[in-house]
Amino acid sequence: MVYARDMWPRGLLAVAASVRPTELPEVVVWPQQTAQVQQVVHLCRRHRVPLVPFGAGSGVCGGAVARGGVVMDLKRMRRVLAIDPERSTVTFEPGILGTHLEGALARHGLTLGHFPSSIMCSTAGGWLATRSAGQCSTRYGKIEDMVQEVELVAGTGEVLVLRGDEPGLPDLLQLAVGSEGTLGIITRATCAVRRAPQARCMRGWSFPWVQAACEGIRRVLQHGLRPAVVRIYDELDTLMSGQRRRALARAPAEGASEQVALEPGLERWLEVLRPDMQRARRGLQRWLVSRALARPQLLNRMAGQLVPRLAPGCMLIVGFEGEAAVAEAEERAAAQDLLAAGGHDLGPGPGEHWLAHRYDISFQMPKAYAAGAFVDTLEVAADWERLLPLYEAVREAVSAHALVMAHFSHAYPDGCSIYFTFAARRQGGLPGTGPEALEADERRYDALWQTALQAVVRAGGTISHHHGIGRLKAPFMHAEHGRGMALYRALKAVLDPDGILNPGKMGLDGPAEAL
Amino acid sequence: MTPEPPSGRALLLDRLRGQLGPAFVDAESDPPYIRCRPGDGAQVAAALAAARVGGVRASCTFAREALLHLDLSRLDRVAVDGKTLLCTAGAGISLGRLQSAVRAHGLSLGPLPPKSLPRTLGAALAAPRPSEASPSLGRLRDRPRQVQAVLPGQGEMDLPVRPAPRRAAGPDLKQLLIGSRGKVGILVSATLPLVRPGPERRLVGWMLPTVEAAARALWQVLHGLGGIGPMDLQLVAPGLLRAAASGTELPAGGAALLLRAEGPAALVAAQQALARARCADGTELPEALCAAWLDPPEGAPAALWPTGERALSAPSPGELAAVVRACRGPWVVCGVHVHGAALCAAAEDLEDLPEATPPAPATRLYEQLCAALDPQRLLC
Repeated sequence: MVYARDMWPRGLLAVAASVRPTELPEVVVWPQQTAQVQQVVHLCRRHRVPLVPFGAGSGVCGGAVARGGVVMDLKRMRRVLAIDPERSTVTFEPGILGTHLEGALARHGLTLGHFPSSIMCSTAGGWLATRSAGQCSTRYGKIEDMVQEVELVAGTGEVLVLRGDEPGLPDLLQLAVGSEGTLGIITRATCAVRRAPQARCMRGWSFPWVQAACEGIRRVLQHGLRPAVVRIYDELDTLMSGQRRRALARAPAEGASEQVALEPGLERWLEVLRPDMQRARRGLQRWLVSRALARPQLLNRMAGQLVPRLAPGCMLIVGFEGEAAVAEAEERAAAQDLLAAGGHDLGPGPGEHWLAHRYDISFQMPKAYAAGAFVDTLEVAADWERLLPLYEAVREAVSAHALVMAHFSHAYPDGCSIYFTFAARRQGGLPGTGPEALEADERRYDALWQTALQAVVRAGGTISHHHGIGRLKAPFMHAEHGRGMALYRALKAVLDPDGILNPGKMGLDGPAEAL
Repeated sequence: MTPEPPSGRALLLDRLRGQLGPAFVDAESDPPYIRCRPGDGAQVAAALAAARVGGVRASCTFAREALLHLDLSRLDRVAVDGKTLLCTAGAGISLGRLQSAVRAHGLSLGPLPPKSLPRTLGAALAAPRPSEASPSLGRLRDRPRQVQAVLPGQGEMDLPVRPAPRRAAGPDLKQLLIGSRGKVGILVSATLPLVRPGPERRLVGWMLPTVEAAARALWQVLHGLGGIGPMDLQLVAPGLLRAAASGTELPAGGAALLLRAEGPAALVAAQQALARARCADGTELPEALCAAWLDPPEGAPAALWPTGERALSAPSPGELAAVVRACRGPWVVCGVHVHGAALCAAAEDLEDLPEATPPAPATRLYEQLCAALDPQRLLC
């Protein structure tokens, strides 16, 4: 049962309903070295048995779900093989947990600079397989920007060492990275590392609306500044995550250049309500789950009307790091751009709070399920021109299915990622429901995703910024790559001619592949 | 008397003239070849389709084995988006012309070695050079957000369908064409990110007493900035710098570290201060001298640049110093970024360096991919 699933929320619907997953592997293997991986691949190839590589199971797209066959759990291959401060590289095995890899580097005063919120429950091999992004990707890039070399056991059983700088060859490394186990199994990797930052400057900013915050960050990045952290919470996400409330509780924050101007009425109400805010928020959450999430369209409409009145504005967290003098200079320069875009400096408090709780979100999902909801996330990206239309299009499309909020993070000079959070009521497994309730939940889930991804494609975004594809987004790979899928199929035919590796994923099985 | 049937070559010529227009197709008999100048992706696809029907090989790199040569010089359109800082440019435009075109919008492709400016965008992507990289922007070959290409078996395609700053939707399929030297497909255009030169720009440099000290300083400047680096960072042989500055006297030393910092004034000042601290053993060079190398009048130093170059993969400062020391002629270390650098030197100096050859399985994999995508071996 342990290996029946990853963290794909569709699978969690069945778990929450106490229904035994129907899609299970027949065998689980734990290799410890490349030669053993190679032997298993040969064996599976000889017997035409599907083989699914598995890291720590933190994926949310069903990329590691097996329908029979063998699951290869790589967590015994977890050694740091070499740290070379002179070359600024680290070489490791794929099954190492992110937090352990960072810990090993920290002992040398180094960092990979890759901090996904799942860092405690995801492996470095999984990062490479899915093109993961960390919370500091704006400064350090995504994992594909860090990797220099991978060793891969292809579906043929051949061991390949792929680099991005072989003279006279294309960058074959970037063809392996992101292939989610469909072309080969990563057994070793080397990445560039950096010196751990000497200083970190975190700061919160308030903006009247999300468009202004996006404009501010676009200016910052296009002026050549590289914050480590950029997170713009939309109005609802700002309210729900309590970001603004905490900032207000601290105001006037130490170091804040300007106090946020509150409407006099709201300020009085906050004073009255502040002692009860925590309790009220818990009550609100329970009410949301039990009643309101059953009518998401109405809830979204109400949120659209009420949130701007109750707590106008949205929150931006921005952080710089590195050599102290450079980080401080970058922060000063960024402040000019953010002020010019209409931002109000809330001081370091909100940023430091975010930093202290940066990984908490990965452990919130079970609470939502226990409360009778299901939650899921969609991370997309687009250039600045398409970004806000994409944001509106997805919210509009999803509003009939779930409560939707978003934050913008992983920003680049030419665009940004949007991270949507959906919440809807689930019924499977709740008192008084039968097996049909789970089926209804799954239908609702599938409809939500179908609608959301159609909206993404129509608005000109990419269907995934850093979660990957797996089974969830596989039907949309053709919309993403078009005729380019012929290239992916050619890669598959050469590297995995028998199609044993992670079948049913990535849209390689045809455009009509079901969710 | 029955007229002789037209040869396959004549048929191909007719067909191409019909599709591209007679003005854009010509033929030579000694050696025999046909040259066509397609004006867009559809015409590139049409030319490849004609070659396939005619059973002749085609090339966009003027390969000797090809009968049909595709001259991409008409693919020279440029579209610039000042909001997203993206430009889409045809494969046939030279990097120099492209740089001028985007500069007209107050933007830049980022630093490029002067010897790369005559290269076309298509050539720079199909056969990338390690010197075409920058500390803050990375390698030019990694920057395209989207390429348009024509593959012999699949026709025109956009890879991916829509540009995005980053994605996690499978392998980066455009990388199969970039670096393929035109053997997988023909690049028609690319969408590239641009930079807006900062309000402040400084060109600074130090003469370090030894090559070892310079290599160490370069490493510390690159990594002291969190691996992000300034816009450009180079080590230059003193003799080259002297030649570029028309014989201006230089302080004595083993190597010059030159740096281009761009951006908001506070950041530029901080980068300069950090570099100064790392080059404390050196003598600061006047800005005019640094500009003579980093920002010369058009075309001036291109002739000075050593023509050969070799990629240095994540070299330690000691390794970097050792390869530089081995050069008897002029040299430049440029294209510095977090994964490596390029050594530009005379061909005879590079001959002494052990050539990094791709491992046989990687080469075999690439050949298998070429065969799978172009089973008729139309492209060469």
